[in-house]
Amino acid sequence: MAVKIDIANPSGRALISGRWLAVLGIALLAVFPLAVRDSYWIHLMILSMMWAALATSWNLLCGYAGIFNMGQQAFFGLGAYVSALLAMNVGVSPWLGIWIGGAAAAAVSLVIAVPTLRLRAAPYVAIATLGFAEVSRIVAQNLVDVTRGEMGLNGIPGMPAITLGGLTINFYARPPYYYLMLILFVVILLVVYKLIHSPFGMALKSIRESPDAAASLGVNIVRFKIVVFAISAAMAGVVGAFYAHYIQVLTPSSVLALPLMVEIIAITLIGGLGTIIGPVIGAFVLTIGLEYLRFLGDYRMLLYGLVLVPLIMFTPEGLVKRVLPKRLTS
Amino acid sequence: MLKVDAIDVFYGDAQALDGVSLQVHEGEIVTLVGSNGAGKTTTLRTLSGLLRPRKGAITISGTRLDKTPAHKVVSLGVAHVPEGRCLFPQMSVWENLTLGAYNTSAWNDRAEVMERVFRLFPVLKARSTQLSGTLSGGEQQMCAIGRALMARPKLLMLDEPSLGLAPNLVEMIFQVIAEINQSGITILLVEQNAYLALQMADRAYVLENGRVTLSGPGREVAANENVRQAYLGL
Amino acid sequence: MIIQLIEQILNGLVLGSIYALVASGLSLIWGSMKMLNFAHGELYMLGGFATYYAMTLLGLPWWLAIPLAMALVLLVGFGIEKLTIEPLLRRPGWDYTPIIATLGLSIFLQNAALLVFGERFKNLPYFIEGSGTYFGIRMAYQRLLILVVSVAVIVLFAQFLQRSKLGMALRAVAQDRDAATLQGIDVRGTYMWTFGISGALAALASAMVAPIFAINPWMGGTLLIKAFVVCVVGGLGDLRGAILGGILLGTAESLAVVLLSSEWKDVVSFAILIIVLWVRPSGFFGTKEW
Repeated sequence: MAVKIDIANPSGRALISGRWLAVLGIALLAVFPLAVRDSYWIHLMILSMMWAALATSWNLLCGYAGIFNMGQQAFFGLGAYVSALLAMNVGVSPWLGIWIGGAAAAAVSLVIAVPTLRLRAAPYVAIATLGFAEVSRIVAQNLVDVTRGEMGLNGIPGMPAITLGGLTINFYARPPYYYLMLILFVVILLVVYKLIHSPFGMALKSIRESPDAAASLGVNIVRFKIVVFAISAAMAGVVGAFYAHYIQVLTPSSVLALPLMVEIIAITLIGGLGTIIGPVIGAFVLTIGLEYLRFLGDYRMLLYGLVLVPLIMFTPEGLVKRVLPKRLTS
Repeated sequence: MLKVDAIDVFYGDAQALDGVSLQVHEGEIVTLVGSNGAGKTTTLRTLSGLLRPRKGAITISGTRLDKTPAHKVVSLGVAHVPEGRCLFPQMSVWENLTLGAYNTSAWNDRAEVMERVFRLFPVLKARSTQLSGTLSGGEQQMCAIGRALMARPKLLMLDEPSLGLAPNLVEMIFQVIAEINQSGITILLVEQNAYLALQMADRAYVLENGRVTLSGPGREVAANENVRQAYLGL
Repeated sequence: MIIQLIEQILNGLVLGSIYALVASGLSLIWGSMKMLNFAHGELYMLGGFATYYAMTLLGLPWWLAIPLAMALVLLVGFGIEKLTIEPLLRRPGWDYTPIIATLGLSIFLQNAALLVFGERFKNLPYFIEGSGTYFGIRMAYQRLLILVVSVAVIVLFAQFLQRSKLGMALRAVAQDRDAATLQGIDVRGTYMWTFGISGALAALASAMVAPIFAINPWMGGTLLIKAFVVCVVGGLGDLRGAILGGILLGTAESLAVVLLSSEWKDVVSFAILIIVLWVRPSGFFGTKEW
């Protein structure tokens, strides 16, 4: 029997150079809207950061905790709908709604996490989470009175103005959303980074690499997995809620469908499973790259499938890990 | 008949076997003794093709065994009774035995060959429709040996056949192994129970940390001071 | 009302037999190769298209077209396994890589079918027209045919697994890969057959329902998820589980259409999945290891 060697290597230890690179990256992102005034490009960057945050939340599960969740979009969409509906029907401020969306996603994630995470095999988790996501989509589709189904939930309020210091920031144009997303993005990355480098993260790593050893050491594997799952769901939910108030229209097929999952997987793979920077790079590459490929039209998805297969076959650890020197990706 | 020439075997980056050489002549009983983790099972698995040596060569009657696809090894006359038996638990004794003849010339004669196995192990005949996973330890061992015999092998390799068996069963199994050898089948026996193994072996090798540290006729090796202390508890 | 219920239950059995056919293949692949084939729905879809073109372009009668389609999908399954799956299985740490690879394949095949076959749904005439009424219960002959053929094929398949040399080899590989190799079984060869046969079963299912449900590039999508649910409910890796799960799901869905509405029938399937996961995660016939 071949020895199971873990491909997703994460020592998780970022070296100084990696850290400075991150700071540089964030600084560049912060400056971007000031340098590039094109609204369309700002939109692209917002989406890129969104995907990066989503993929990071998924990567926490799959690359670090070894949980192959195929229904991350359920939490994204749930956060979106919860926040949107609360704002529209109950008048809850989106500033609060975003966190409620995340919390709701985390709470609901327990429904699928508790029974499923007892099982070790990836396929069981994949099927269960996929099924769960599909139910969510169908439910959202059918509850037309509440969600307006595929006709679309229109007129979701944007972020209301806030006053910081003496300055009032209105969310009429894209740049304020950009900075909000940037903050969320950085926070999520920080949370994931901190988690991985904490004792919690070490425990996770031990669970992934050698579940039997971890169990014998008294690590309550299932509880760990459930907690990580909920955290990941909360992150996805928060991002989803942001998306709702940014794009201001929701349909089940735009926020709850399988293609979102495929995109997340593709992003994480391209960037590198089990690295922090991987999903980020993958998100930017894919989001911006796909814009250029827009002319492909119908062939776009075809290309996707075609590329995904050799990608996973030849570089399962992700392109970034192959291309960049090891120090940077750790 | 079997010649193992200085093989190096690795698990990833960890070296399991270092320059291991051994020979098995036709009709012999050769035993490989050593403690846990010495590399005995690794050796057999490499012979069977489940592992590949990074260096060195393995030949059986002139054919390069280390270049043979693992599933073709048995058709060359080399049958392996793995450590822990490894029967097909949800298949009956009869099915397990039948599969033993799968890729061999014995397939067409399998009914005959099975009769011979039943004569050697009558209890298997009695339990032929029982699921092998429900057999007792001793019966499972018999079934595993029987399964290997179904291939009408020239060389029978056994990995720790005494593992987990009560002493009287162990004696019985060893008696059967001796019988099998008398019927003309060469035996390569890997054992932790050095005492019995060395008694019946024509020649023996001692494996320690992946290296052969001693070899020679069975009696000689059994009389060796280090061996007596380390493996025979004397 | 009773008559309607019984008719729906019968419809459920018909649907269930289709689910069982598709799920059997998936279960077999899981048992043997320990992977999920996300492209299974597309093999199903290809079976439908192959039947369609065999009947319309080649003018073959259905009872020739279907075996032809099955043979074609068998070969396609061989190809997919050999080219993409096998290299992945050889590598260590392959828990999820085949899932992603087959997912990519699924996307590719769906879109390729869209481009090649077009988005219009293709219809086939019923193989057997008409319906009969027994004890006041109306049953379309086509549906009866589906039931009969499905049951026959499943029984044949079970016998194949039980008695034939290859069938025994497939089962052995599922139980202990290394031991199987030691007996001389070419494990990689069995993987090819496993993949191919499971595809052929799915192709048969697709062909049988084509006159009822129409053929289109996306027909594999929802079916795949349902088939997975069936496998989990029945117990991954066990043929009996696929059959039982299929019947259960088919019947539950059909009843849901009548008792609730057709939009909610899919939710019923997933609800069953979640309940089973809570109560008995290994499924009905599943082994506890998972």
